[in-house]
Amino acid sequence: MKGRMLKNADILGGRYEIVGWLGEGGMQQVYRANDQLLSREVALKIPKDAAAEKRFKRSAIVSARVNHNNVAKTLDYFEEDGRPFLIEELIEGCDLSDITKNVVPYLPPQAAARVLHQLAKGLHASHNAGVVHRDLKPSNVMVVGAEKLELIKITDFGIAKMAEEELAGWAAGEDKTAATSSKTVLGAIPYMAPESINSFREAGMPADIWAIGAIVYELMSGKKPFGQGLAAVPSILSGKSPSRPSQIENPQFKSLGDQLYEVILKCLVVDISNRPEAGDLVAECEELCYTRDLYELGAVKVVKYPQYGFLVSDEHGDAFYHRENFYGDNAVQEGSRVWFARHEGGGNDRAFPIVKAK
Amino acid sequence: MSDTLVCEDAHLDRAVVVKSLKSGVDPKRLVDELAALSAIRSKHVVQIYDVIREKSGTVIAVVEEYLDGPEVDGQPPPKNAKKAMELLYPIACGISDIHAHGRVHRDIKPANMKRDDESCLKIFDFGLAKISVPGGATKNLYFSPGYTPPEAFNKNASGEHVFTTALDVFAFGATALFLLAGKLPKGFSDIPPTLGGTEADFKTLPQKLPDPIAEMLNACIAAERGDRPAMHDVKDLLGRHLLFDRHRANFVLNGKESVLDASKRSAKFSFGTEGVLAVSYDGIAFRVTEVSGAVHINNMPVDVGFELPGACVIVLGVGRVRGIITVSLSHPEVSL
Repeated sequence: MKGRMLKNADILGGRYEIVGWLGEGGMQQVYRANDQLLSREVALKIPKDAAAEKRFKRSAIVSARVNHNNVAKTLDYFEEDGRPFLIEELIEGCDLSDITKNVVPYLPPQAAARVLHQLAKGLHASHNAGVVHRDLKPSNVMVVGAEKLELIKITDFGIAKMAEEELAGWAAGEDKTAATSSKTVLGAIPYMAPESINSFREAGMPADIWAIGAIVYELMSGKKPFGQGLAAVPSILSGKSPSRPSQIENPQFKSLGDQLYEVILKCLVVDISNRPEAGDLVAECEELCYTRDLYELGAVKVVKYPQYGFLVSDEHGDAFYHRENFYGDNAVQEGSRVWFARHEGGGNDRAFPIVKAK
Repeated sequence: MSDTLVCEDAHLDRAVVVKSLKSGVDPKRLVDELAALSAIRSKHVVQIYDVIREKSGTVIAVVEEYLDGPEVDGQPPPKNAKKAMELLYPIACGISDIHAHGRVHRDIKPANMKRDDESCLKIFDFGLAKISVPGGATKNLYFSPGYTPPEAFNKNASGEHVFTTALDVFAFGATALFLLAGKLPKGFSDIPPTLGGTEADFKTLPQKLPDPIAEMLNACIAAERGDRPAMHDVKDLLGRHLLFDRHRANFVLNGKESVLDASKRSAKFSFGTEGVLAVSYDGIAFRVTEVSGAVHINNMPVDVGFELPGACVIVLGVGRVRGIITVSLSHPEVSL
């Protein structure tokens, strides 16, 4: 792995001062920078190698066409000493893969439906502007406010252009299950539509719809719909639907869970002519009764009776819980970590929904 | 603002508008203002992309999104209430988004709105020239006659004209009146404006707006700024009326689900005899229509007429065994 290519206090483009490190993906490194001209903080992205560099400008031009609250905004692009730089809106939070890796194993349908609605809206605006993502996966979806789940923003539009050689090369291969060492390929496969696997370069807007269906299935169930890595390829091509998440059997989650599962299955249809378009998906999401709660982390403080007790949050006061209001695993004891939405009122606040946290 | 040029952004391959700025505005405040405006992400506000500075550091121009659709000013008035609300809603959204970012537009009027190539209405031309200069002795008021409320003509103790969000709310109301009636009452252009009269009453307009909408718009052009509603509430009410009968609510009591919408408007929930609650949908909101015994919504006692919030927990009865209803509402959005 390449080390950090820029260091704090470096000034790029005569105005962007590096003030911190945000992370890296397969194609690029991301830094926190201070835009001295407009006195604001921004995200500065730089490609990791020459292969990615060639596609970087195209990626910037493509993403700059989209202006929507559910899409991270491209602010600037410039080249300096032959190196390209992309400036993007800074998102204070984490990406969606961090949520399922570090916060909770799965999200209740109330939260997953809201994520789907926002992904669909962002995609709708992008597709309207003629922009296709083609490499949507949880690490390309940013979550403002991290575990609070404030707002979803799709990022890295056009990054598939940078990864195209690698992905298309793999997709052009005869044996799709032959071993590959490409992290880019392995990371993309679980969310890849059948048509992308068959011919990556030709995949279009319907492949984005498939991807958000796969992402939201994973959010709701805690499992990738077709399995991990190369093993997913035969399942994706088979046309078999992923199974109904067992968590939604709980009557508190069943109705919305069933509806959301149905919408997800529509996205995961092999025949692209039968897949909804982003606008259809937005309309379907508008029919779902979900909530716009903000979530918080805490722990079980007291188990009062088998069915209920009190939670204490890391930042706010106590809240009452009922065991029925847990999504998925509800085997908690005093001290168990939990993630929940709070409904305020007199007396004790009430927690709903609740998920046993990691 | 003075000269305006349509330019090609060679880096990002897009058409942009470059507007040169009049001098005389404190550069520090101008930059602060532009930085804040550039952070506004609204479907109905023109995006400010960047600024251009001279070598000395003075900001001389603003770079913003280019719109190539039709003007809003000069179009015939909408034919009915629905068309009228569809015209006003995006304007209310844009102003509400600006206010949510803690900013005031300062120059809302029909001439400062335009549509893009997808017919999406956008507000532009923030009244940057109206930013007062701290420490200056006399302050000139730049204003648009007809769209400026009475209080804008007053100066505060330090001799400045103060612009609050209520200024934009008045300008929105005057804009709505102009767009719906085709003209503004003459008195609106007086300095300060003469308000009131039947011509300035939204209830008399040919579009026959729903009463709550007409009343809300009348309040926007109230002489006292304290009587004007928040832009967010104006947007919200317009949105609810545009989404008439399109909401759904989901109630789960002891594992049993009930759905209320336009096809089934009311439901009654009870837990033994300890608590009874009836809820009804009027096309705009879900409200409590009957309550007896112990009923708590989010732990608070409720009365008839209470509007259910987007998500809540209702408890019927007291003591250890209680009926618990979880409630969630759908989130249809206005798509124009």
